[in-house]
Amino acid sequence: MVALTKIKENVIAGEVDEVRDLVKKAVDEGQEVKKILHEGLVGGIQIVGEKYDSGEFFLPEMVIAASAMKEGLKVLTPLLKQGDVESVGTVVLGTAQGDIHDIGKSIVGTMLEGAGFMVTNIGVDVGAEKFVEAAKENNADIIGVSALLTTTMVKMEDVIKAVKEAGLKAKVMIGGASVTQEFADKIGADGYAPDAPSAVGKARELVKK
Amino acid sequence: MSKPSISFLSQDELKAMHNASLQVLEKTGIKVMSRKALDVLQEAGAKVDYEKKRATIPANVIEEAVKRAPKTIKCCARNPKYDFVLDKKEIHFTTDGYAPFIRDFETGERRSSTKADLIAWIRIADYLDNLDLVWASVCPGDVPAPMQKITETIIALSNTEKHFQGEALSAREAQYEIEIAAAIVGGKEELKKRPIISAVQCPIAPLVFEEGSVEAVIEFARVGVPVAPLPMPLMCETGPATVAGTVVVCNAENLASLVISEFANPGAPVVYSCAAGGIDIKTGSAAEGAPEYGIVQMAAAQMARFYNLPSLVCGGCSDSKLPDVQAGFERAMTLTTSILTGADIITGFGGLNSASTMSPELLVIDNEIVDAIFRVGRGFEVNDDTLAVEVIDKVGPGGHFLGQRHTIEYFKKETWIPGISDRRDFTSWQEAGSRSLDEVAKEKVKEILATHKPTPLPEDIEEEISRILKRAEAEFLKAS
Repeated sequence: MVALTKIKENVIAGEVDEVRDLVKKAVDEGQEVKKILHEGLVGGIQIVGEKYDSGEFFLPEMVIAASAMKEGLKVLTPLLKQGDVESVGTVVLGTAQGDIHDIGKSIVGTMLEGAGFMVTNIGVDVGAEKFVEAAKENNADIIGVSALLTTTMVKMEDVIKAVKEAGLKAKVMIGGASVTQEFADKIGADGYAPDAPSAVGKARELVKK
Repeated sequence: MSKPSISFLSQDELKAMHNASLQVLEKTGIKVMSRKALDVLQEAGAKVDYEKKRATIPANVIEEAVKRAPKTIKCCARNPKYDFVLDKKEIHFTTDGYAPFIRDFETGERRSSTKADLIAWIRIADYLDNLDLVWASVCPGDVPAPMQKITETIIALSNTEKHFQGEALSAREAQYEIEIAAAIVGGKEELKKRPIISAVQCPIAPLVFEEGSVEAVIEFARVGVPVAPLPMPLMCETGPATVAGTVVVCNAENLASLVISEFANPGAPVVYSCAAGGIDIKTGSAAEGAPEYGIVQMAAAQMARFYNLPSLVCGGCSDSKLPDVQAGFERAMTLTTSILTGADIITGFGGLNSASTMSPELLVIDNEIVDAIFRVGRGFEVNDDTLAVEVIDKVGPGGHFLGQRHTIEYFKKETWIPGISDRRDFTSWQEAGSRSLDEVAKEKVKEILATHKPTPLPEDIEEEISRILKRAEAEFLKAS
């Protein structure tokens, strides 16, 4: 029998293939799916989070562990019944119109997934209507808009307006090197975070409201 | 005369990084969001997939591009006394950039930068003698976004007589900037002979060329305005975790951009450049004050020499949020490594918090730091006169050299005289106010702004530029 601690260890080590294979094996062995999820995958990612906070792990280790967890989750998701998974929230993430910078937003996405959020990354150079569409499709709790350039962050306000007009319940969170809390307040964003780790905290706050 | 110089990569190592870049360009290729640029690449002999917006470039095309590229570039200024040549003989400094924030030198507050901040910045840069060219270091955040780059060009050229290195985010923007520069020198043909502007046009690492930026590259290539492609892969994120791998991505982006320029217009002036480095591996943000930043620049400078191309690298930024000890040691570290490795242009003065924030005091402080490092970089002469055997004999055991003619002849050349650094004894320093270097620099900034008035543009040219600006506003602002 696959020891669930072995899955946990491999999540922590970021061993993507190992996690997938072990999870499959555990499922085939008839082990309880919910238990595999909580003790193997979630247990692993929680320890990764603790190690990151304590300074033992850094961003690359966080990202690879989250990838491993995601891979394990892919195996389990079709088998999980409704109510088995308490998703923390659903997030739609994209880079603002005219901007094709991607890495910052992707790191935020990975860290949100690691924290239990369902994340849909809708890519770069995304217009306001597309954000609204994706939020509707995914029943998003949060819409995350990223922009690097001073010339494209102005488009964030368009997203906020479009969300209001569509009457969506989703909260809009923004981020990017040129963005500040002041700017977020000015354009009526629900949240802002200066980097990926604090984005997770902010997102948790926003879904509670 | 021997000068201290750092050159640590062997020919084999440089060749290996070159070959790796060729492999990357031939197999992985680049993503190019512009049809126009893909056309140029296809005509050059690259394999293009228009649907996927991808191009792979074979080695012979890259070799041809390197062959076509001019090995020296003349950068001109609206006052010809500020002209300079990128010919490996001297290092030319520019200001850092591009930042959306400024650290207000009066209040210490970090705030979004404005048009007024940029004007003041350029005026200080016009004054400082170790700056040969300027960047529009702070964004005029109070100007509508579509007009920011053109406004930067106008502000820079109006407030300094030195060479301006700007940026364009679209072909149309580039065309307006070319028009503005041409108005100052007397036409496009004259601008080709005397390019008073050049442009930094960043790809997006890894290996992506944005539509607007790459089309601006083509516009600048066609009129002979020098372009610095300025790749910026960051280790672990947009570049491999290894220095060598990140240098390969930077190199590949340089070579790809070079191909686009040289096949858009053979002989187009291109400056091999680098802003690549590392990240803060805790949060993932760029870390421009880091030692790996320094070492990547050193590698890039040597790669540029490998191709015999003019070069631009970084040096002097910091991750600190204020002009403190961290700011001091970080910038001195990478300024030393970049200056002693050598490049034609080094950017830049004034940066904090990985160039997201500019500090006017640091313009003055960097001018001083660079001055001191230049002294190290000058080395010293060993000849019969400098060996001083005669004057040593004249002075004899227990004597001193202060009153000697030999001393008078040499002391100013050999001993560096600081501008703002304090070397007084403690009591004198205390009596003078116990000021720290950033406080002294702050006073100097105030003094420069109060007294230094850069030569304005002639009235008729100002009017012409006004007309160009109005046309640009009509075009860019009507739709938004």
